[in-house]
Amino acid sequence: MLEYYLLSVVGDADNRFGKVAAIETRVSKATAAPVTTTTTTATTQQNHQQGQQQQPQHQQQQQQQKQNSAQHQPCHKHKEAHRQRVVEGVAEEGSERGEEEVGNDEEWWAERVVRVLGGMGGGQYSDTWYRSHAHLLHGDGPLPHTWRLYIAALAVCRHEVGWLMRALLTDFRSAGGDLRWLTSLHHAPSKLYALAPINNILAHRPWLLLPHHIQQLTKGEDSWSLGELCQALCIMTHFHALSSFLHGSGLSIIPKKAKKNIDMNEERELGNPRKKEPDCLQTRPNCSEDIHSSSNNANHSCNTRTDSKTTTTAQGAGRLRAYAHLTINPSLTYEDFNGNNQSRIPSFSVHEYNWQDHGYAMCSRLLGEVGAFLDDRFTAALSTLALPSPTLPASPSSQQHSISPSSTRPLSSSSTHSLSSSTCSLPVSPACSPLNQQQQQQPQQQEQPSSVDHQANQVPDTIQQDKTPPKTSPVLAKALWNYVQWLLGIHHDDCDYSLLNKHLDPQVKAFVKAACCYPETLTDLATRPSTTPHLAEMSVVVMEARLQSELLYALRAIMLHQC
Amino acid sequence: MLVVKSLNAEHKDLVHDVAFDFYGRRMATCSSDQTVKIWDLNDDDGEWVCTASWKTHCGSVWKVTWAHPEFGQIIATCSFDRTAAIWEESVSDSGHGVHSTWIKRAGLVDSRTSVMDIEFAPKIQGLQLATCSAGGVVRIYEAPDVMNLNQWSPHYEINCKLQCSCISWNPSPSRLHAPLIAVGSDDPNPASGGKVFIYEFSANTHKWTRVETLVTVTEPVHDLAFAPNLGRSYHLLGIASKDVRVIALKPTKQDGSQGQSSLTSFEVRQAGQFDDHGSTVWRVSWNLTGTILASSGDDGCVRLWKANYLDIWKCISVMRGDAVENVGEAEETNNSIQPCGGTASGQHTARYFKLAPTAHPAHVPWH
Repeated sequence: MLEYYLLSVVGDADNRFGKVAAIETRVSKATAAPVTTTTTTATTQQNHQQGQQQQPQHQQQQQQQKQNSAQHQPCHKHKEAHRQRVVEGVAEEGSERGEEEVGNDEEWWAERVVRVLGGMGGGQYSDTWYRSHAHLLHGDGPLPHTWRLYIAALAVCRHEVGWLMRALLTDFRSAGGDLRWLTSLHHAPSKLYALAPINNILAHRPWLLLPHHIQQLTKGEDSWSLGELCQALCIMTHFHALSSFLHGSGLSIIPKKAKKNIDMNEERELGNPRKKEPDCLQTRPNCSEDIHSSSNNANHSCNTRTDSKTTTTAQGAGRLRAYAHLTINPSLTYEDFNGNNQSRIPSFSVHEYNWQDHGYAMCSRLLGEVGAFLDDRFTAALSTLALPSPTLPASPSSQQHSISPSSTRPLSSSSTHSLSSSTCSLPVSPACSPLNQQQQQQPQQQEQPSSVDHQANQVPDTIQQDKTPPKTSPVLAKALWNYVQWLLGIHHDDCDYSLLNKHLDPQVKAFVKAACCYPETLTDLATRPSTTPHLAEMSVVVMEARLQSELLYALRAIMLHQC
Repeated sequence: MLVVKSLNAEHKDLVHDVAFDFYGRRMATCSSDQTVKIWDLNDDDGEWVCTASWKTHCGSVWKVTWAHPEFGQIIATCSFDRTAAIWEESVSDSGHGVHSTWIKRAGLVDSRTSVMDIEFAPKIQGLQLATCSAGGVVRIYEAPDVMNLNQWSPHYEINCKLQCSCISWNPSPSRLHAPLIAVGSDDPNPASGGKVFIYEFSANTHKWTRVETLVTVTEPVHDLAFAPNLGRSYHLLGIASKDVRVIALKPTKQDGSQGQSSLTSFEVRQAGQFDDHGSTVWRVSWNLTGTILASSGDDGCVRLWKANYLDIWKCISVMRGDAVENVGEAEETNNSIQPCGGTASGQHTARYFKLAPTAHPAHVPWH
């Protein structure tokens, strides 16, 4: 009888900063029964060794945990140790559900998101993310809670993450928000309505945000105070960036048939055409893992699966929005900043207004602690995420990791120096050694049954298992960061963009551009580069870079308005 | 009988303001060293003990003011760093006794220039406050939920055109008198006209409108204060500029305009102008009943003024603390019918700061 580990994340809805207790239980397969009720037990004890018998919340969770138990256990231990911190809106939103069916789905899904985030960067990044998320939604600040949730919903609506919208709106309802606002943006107070154009601009073309927008908001009847406005802007940009991340890492769509018993056998998934979405989401990491085993077959099969799936092609401007009633001008989308000759808006150099020198100070002045939390996030994202060193895209993607370490080392070293010598904080050699270790890991991983669903967690975890902590490669992170900021109109003077273009895999570039600028089109998995194993980490980098860029534009507009 | 008590404030720089709370048992001082200190009156020995001291701003703190105790232990500070902040005391009962810490509840950052004065509105109007900045803008904020001090929404913004230095709410609004704010300007140019503006709030139009400009006051105004009104039919305004002025504002009767939206017009009468200080007068302050005005000036003295039955104002007392020279700033009177009121004057001698409260029992020399 196989035993499964069930990892459930429970949110304590009473505590303002909902405590997250991860409870590890062993549930035997035979006793698994479909769950009808969501149980949210307030547990303060985070000792996961206590095997609390808890009805499994969803069948799906069990099957997904199907693992070689020996390997799984140490992973979870690491995760628990990291996840001491607070989980706010994501898990807690799930726990305040009214409707059972929808609620269960989203709660489970929120937990998944939490797990993915939690595994990254050895938990340091996730801590910073949770803190800022919690503080934005629940911390001190001039805006009332219902307003913050509503503004967050408005922000997410531009990028169409359905489950997050529903979660936020449900929270809004349960927090006592006025229900009429949900029907249409016009019923919301005019103060909020005035924020909608700013939302659009920030979401799609942040370089268009000008001081006169700020002036319109802060003058006249129903004016915003600067503190309120800054908080609203932080919430909006945070949720824009979060939507980018969710789409980029594939977590934006809750797979259908979540509750049915899905056999984890990969063959059956392959053969079952109805379960396309969950398959792809689960097996997408599988695809990438298969790459490590340097077999092309899985790669091809992955592609064929996604091709046969009925996908919504990138419709761009003509796309109908699911929550169009909560926004104005629904067809506004990203426009190429750099290719656009009509808008003669110059890109601004990061030296004029950057986060460290200007943005942080202004954000702290206007909002207090939020500035510090956001700063932690940015530094954590840049330094603690485990990303591989960039390699030349010339070689077939399936073989890039089978190149001997010695040959990649000189490549990486040259690329690192040329890319951004001033910004590369870590020396080159440590960056290469985790790459070696990764490659050593991969043969081991081949032997595991490949039905891992949070493979993104696996890689850093397994590396952590094996002695040396991964000194992450900041080079790729920085390169992606610069690219994202370039897409949004901020250029770094010390970064050689031509070299950046050369060294970034075009598939990666396309993915990053899509994640940053029109993330809602990323539902089509074929556009994802199935070659890289670190989609989640890359999505995080995209999220943080985008957040910082939007914030810089917003804060710069406020600063110019103040003068 | 005058008792002078000197208190070493231990601020590292100029003390700009001293404020008593509603009951006169707590005191807040603020200084150019960017900190605020809270002093509590120890009942046993009548000594003032500093119970809290913390850095509040990134620049000199100009003014500190207490809110009505009905809302809690709340102070507001305004500073040269263009922000104003609201602080609330939180008392935690740990094993070693009662600790009080002051937490920043809100920061008001809308101003583009140094915020010169801040004052809470009378409690009848809810939890509102007004700030005035060196850029000539008066902003009125309100906390819609008195339990949640984080949220202060900007209600009104009044542009005074001249740089403002002081602001005062009419502390006794009634159904006969609409809310009034007096704003004083320290613009050094005498040609720019009157330096005191009176704004009235019209409930019908929900706007603050300037109803009066005191053209007789052309010197830069450093402080002004409305007197509490305990039955007078007119308003009294004390003004500190080059000399001490007392202005009486009598609302003129509007025929057939009961309940109309028209604004009150005032008959302005200068009740007194006193040059006794012989130098710049910096601060004025009224007692609780609005009968005695205290003023402090550059001559290092605090003078008390009172009107007799003929409504003639006279100086009834001159007080000197341990003055050396250049008496700066603060003085605040909280004389009340309680036996121990206090007058405090802040003095600056080079780097050393003295704060001298004078216990002033309810005596009056003559009148």
